[in-house]
Amino acid sequence: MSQETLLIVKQQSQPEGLDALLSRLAEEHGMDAYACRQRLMGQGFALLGRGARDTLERVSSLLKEAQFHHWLTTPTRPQFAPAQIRSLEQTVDGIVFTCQKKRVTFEKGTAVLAVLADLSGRLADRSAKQLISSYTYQGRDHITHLSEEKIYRTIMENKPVLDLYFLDDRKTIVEAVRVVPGKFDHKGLGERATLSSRRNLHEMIGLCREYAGDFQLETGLGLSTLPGCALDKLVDDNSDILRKNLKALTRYGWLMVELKQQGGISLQQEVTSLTGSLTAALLAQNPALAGSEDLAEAMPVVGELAAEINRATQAAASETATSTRPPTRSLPAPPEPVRVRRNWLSPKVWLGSVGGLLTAVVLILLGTTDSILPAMMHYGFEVGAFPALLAALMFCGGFHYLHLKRQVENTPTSKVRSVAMGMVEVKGKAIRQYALISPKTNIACAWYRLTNYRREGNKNWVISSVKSSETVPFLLEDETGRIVVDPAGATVRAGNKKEGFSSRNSISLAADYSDRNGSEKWVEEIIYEGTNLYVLGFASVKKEQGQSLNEKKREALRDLKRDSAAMKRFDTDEDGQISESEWEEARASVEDQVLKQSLGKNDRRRRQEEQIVIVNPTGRRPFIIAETHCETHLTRSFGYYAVPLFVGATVCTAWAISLLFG
Amino acid sequence: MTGWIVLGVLLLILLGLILYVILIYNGFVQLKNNINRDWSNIDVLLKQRYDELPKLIKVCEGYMQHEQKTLEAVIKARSMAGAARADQDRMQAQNALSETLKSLFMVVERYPDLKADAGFRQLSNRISELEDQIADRRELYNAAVTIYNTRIDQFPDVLIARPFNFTSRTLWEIDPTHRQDVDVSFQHS
Repeated sequence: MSQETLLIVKQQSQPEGLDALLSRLAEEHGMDAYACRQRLMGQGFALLGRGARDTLERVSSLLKEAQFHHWLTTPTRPQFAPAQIRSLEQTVDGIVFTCQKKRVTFEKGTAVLAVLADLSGRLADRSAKQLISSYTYQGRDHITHLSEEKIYRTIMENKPVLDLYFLDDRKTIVEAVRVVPGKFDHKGLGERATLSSRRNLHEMIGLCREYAGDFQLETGLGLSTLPGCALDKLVDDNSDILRKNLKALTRYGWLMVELKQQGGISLQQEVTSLTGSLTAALLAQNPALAGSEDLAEAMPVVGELAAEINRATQAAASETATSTRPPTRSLPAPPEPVRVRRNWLSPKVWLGSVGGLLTAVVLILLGTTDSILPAMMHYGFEVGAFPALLAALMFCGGFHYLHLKRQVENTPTSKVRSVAMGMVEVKGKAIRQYALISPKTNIACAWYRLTNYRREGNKNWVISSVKSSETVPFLLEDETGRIVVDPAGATVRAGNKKEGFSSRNSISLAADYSDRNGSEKWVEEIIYEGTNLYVLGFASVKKEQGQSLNEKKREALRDLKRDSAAMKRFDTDEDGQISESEWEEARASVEDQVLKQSLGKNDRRRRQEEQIVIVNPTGRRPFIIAETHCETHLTRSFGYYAVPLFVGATVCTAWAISLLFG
Repeated sequence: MTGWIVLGVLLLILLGLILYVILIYNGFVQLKNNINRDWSNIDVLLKQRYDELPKLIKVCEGYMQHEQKTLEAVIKARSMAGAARADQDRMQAQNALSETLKSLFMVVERYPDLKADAGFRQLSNRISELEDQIADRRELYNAAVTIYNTRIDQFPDVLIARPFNFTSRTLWEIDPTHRQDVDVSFQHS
């Protein structure tokens, strides 16, 4: 029976042409695109597939086209685990490691594969946090992974262990040792020895690098998803977990050596094969050289040419790697909420005040405070005032929703590129303009509303506070461009709602139900970045920032007046005075100059997001922001609200009449 | 008592109907004004394009001495667009202008020096941008007209539209000849 082959890939942070590769993997090989995306993106190694070699070879050719480093391997079981060192001794020819049962000599010039890993299993957590924070602050298109330096530092800060594999010329393992910080006599490091166990481990890596002919350090355990190489999180130094993680480390080390033996179908491999092809081509032209054992000696030109190609290809590869890296986008912090001052002259305030005063007067006229409640009950229910009031409110509510429904239906959808001033309807994806995150669930979002509840009595929840991001504008993106939406005063219908029963902040993405019987509860409504939005609002020109053209012109003219030398240039008749016609000429010249300067600075046209903003319309016109996949869904929901309100209004009217005449 | 209840509910329904009629009527007024506004918004862009064209022609003239016919066609179309008054005439004139501009940009391909000219690039980009925006707003105008025309023919809106004389509006359609397949020939005369 043939042994199973594994297809292992080196993950990439921002692979180019990933979507095309995923669709081909799905179409041609029936592989799940989502799972493949997870396996192909990242920082470590991942198992992309396992099975018959011929099938995997076909997948391999696709990966090769997409320039993914990958290996087809039939893994062997580790034949021995690295022996833990107790001490070391540096000699002229190398380093002698003393382990419990044997002595291992590391001869100078030997190839070494070093695997440095954090056995606490926290590297994966750190990586996840990095992904979340970069997503939050830099946006979904600019996710950055942990840098090599950070990975190294994280490993060193937790529970680091170093495995050293000494390889022969055929890259097979000759010996292997394990270095556990604090568990070996550091005096053997000589001048490198320090009082810090982790620093000593760092120095050990440096020492091995110095002695090794070919030194390769692997730090990907914990970030990789390879069979048998998963690390469990170490809790309270649990010996079982530690033992399991050490086994995973051994497996990972052996697997890395196997991959190193293969060399991989990498870019470097491509170069080698290119060199090989070139050599073959030259040999074909000169068959006399075919029998030569040492091509470099026999054909120095080929060697030089190959080296030249190597250099050029590596330079091109490094250039591509740097040039294709997207520029990092750091979103600014959200603006501070503006405290809205109450406008005492607004009609709403006046109506409220006058209404309240009248109610108070009526209540006083009805009798003393003791008899207010009975009087209200009498007029409210016996005469039917309450049901009548309820009917009126429901009737108005019904018409409000009907009006909204028709308003949405009657407004055609504009494209962002050509939005005109006035009431507009636009549809697109929500994109953050500021680094906004939801306060409870810590998710990157374009908008949120947090409602806090307090338990009153046994069951009832009462709203204690409401906080929203209505002062934080966001962008709406359709296929033609982006536009700013200022959500202040909008009726927002968010599609996502998270609920928690604890007042503590939670980093987890799920709601916190740990304190279900507590006295506090929160509900967070969120519009995630990238969700489809419907916006009906008023498009207006943004307030101009900086000096306007006229201000610039005025300032330039003031400067000209102060500069007597410059003024002399316009004194064409040289009488020492600037006449009216001369001044007109000077003014025209300055204006022209300012205009040219202004155009020179802004030779590109300003984008919609820089000049237009959708805001709350004045008057009774609606401002709706709704997370919905289609407009009909929204209008239908308005209809669903209106119908029961009308039915309720009719019932309440009948009730009021029956009370009045009953 | 039951009679009073029935009467009350009927009155409420009557009130609801009156308000509904008002709602529909106001909806028509809003739609009509939306159409007028959308048309005016197109006009704003057409005016911008109209103003940019002389500059473009001036730049082109320096390079394209052998394409006088094309340039004259653009100038003529521009004059017609400026002179048109009725909505239908204006739509046709603007369509014709768009077509002559397309021809002009096609001819420009033969003049690499002109294509390399910074002024021409800036102006052609600006006009292309305006063309895109005009197309978007034309779509919006047509969408507004479609909503309006559908509403006035729908029940129960038709019962209000007819007595108040809300009549259907014309869509901005392209010239039927432009729906034909493009005949591409690579043979030079």
